[in-house]
Amino acid sequence: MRIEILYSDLCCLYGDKGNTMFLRKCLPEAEFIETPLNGKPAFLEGDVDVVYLCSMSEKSQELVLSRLMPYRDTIAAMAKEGRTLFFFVGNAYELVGQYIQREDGSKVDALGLFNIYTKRQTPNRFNSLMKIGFGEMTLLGFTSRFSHSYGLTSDIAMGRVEAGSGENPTSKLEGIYSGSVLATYLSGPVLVSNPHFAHWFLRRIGAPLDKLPCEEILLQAYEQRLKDFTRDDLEMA
Amino acid sequence: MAKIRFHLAVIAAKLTGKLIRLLGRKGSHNPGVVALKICPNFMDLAPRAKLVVCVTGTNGKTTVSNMLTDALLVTGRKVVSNRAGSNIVPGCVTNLVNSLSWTGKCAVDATVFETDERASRLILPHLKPDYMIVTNLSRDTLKRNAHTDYIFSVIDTYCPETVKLILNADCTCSSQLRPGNDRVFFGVGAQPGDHTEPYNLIADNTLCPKCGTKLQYEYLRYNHIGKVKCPECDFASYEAKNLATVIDGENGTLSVTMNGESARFKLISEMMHNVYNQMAILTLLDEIGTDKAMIEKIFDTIRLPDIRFNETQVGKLSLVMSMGKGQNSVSVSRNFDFVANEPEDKTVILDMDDPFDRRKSVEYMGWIWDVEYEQLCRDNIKQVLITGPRCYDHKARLLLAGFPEEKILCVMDEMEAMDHVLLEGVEKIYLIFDCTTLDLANRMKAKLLGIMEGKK
Repeated sequence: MRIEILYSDLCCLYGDKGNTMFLRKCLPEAEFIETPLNGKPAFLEGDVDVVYLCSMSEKSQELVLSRLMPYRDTIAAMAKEGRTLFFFVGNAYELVGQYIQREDGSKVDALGLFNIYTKRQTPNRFNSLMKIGFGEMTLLGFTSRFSHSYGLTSDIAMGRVEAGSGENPTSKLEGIYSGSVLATYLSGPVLVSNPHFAHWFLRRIGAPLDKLPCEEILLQAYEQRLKDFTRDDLEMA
Repeated sequence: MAKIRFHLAVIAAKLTGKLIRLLGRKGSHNPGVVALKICPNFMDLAPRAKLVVCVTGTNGKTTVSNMLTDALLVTGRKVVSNRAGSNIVPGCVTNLVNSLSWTGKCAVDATVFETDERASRLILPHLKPDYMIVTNLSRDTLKRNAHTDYIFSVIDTYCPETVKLILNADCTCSSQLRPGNDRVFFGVGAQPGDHTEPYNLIADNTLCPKCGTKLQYEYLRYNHIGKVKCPECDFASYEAKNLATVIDGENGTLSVTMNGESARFKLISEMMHNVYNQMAILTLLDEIGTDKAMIEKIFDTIRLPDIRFNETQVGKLSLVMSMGKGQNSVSVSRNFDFVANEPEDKTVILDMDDPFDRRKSVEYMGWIWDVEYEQLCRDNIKQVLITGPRCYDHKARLLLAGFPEEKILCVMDEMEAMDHVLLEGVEKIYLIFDCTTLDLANRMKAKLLGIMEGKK
């Protein structure tokens, strides 16, 4: 099992390291490759099971795109099929769309894997709790961003929002799960905070576990959050 | 008309402040709200003190602005500051109101404004301070502050070009602010135990801002704070005009190089982040022409604000209150680092849940995964008692850091938790609390002190 963490010096803003910290505990035999900003991604040489990219600043999004765009065709081919799972968390989600529109109206080309696009609205910060139905699971989390995305369709959406906001405040669709791409606007340690999803994820990458590390307390924490999500006076922001 | 509005605003705001204080509250916010309601451009119209200083940054701004206010008082100046409360626009306007007489004339020699870095865009262009100290910039709460690129751009965009900046040479982020302004740098030189490679869980701004190459550290203190150079281009840390050279905790002295000359002062605190805070104050004092003898007197007099850190001895046991900043992983990790490195056997109580989020929402627990719980994995920590609605999330993080499960206790109700504090076999109890939970933390303290007295 080889897991590549792209640009971890820049892309690790909101506790996203919790995902790889947890995967290291789940998969002690796995090899973790941390690719620096000026380095060549390992997945281009093949033999990588997961490519993980997570939250970054808007300036960093453009730096990351400048590094990945030369490989856009390769990534597009790998995203359609193949064993490598592209796991994008937080605003890394926006990189798989067609473009990102800056506040001044100018556009930055993105990887173009799907027909979504993003509009930035800095300094208006958008915060929302998120409760997402994904298959039989309920994912709990949070999004915090300066942007919204548009154009997501149900055939590629990862899930439906049961509480909170989807890719934009009027959308109930959230995230992308299509081919070899799993991308979500959820911020941070989504695997740790959703133990059922962690089991699913490990099965998806071919490394199922009977029991997660610290599974009891992870479930207890999840159940407490689920209970808090159901309160009548819940405010989403 | 504007003048009439301004004078009405002064009177109304002062009356509001008096009324609120009569009701037993601080009145650090609402007088400003009233003033702005009557006179929206109050900050532009208010007469300025001879010296106006803003203090901002991610960590240390409350400590620096509190101690700086005390320092200026020692020099004999009449000073007001917003140390009692709000550091956003209404708090700064209240401070301005407090600097004025009833007739709207400036009645003080100096005003010190602790300025929220995000709100600085609404404050700096109007206050136009003479000096602005930026303690450092690092990641903070994601909901409000997003990331350092954003906060940097806010300060960089809205800081007027007339402001003289006092910057931390060892912060690779904030040291890059406003290159066109007059700037002076402070720093802490190489120390025993320094690192040369990032070792913390969180180290932002470790790539060269010019070419993206990983920076090389001549010395690294914590997170991204240290002296750097880029191996690929000409980017390097600025040289500090005022540099701490020897931190002598044993004798309580701080040796510095100041304008090329050596000097020695009383060390306010051994904690490294407070050495930076002391250097920031020293640099401001130097900039305004304070002589060495007066600086000595100041550092002999001022001390850390009690609210941040205080210790109460009961018999052989000691209770230490240590304020962190919830949802700020760097602040809490620094706190953990200090507590863990204290030599005594101890109990650690965590009261970190955000009171605003808990009221009607669910706190984002991602920040916990940026906190270095690994620091707490020491044999001399006999119990970690975790309180609040997110206690299980903290426990999961602590377990994955490798802390033994049998030494962790979760009690959601903070007051009830005080009945379960391990008092036997320890010398110190550390209560680490979020700055927004001060009232609750004080109630926890009072209850725990009662229990400790009973066991004496």
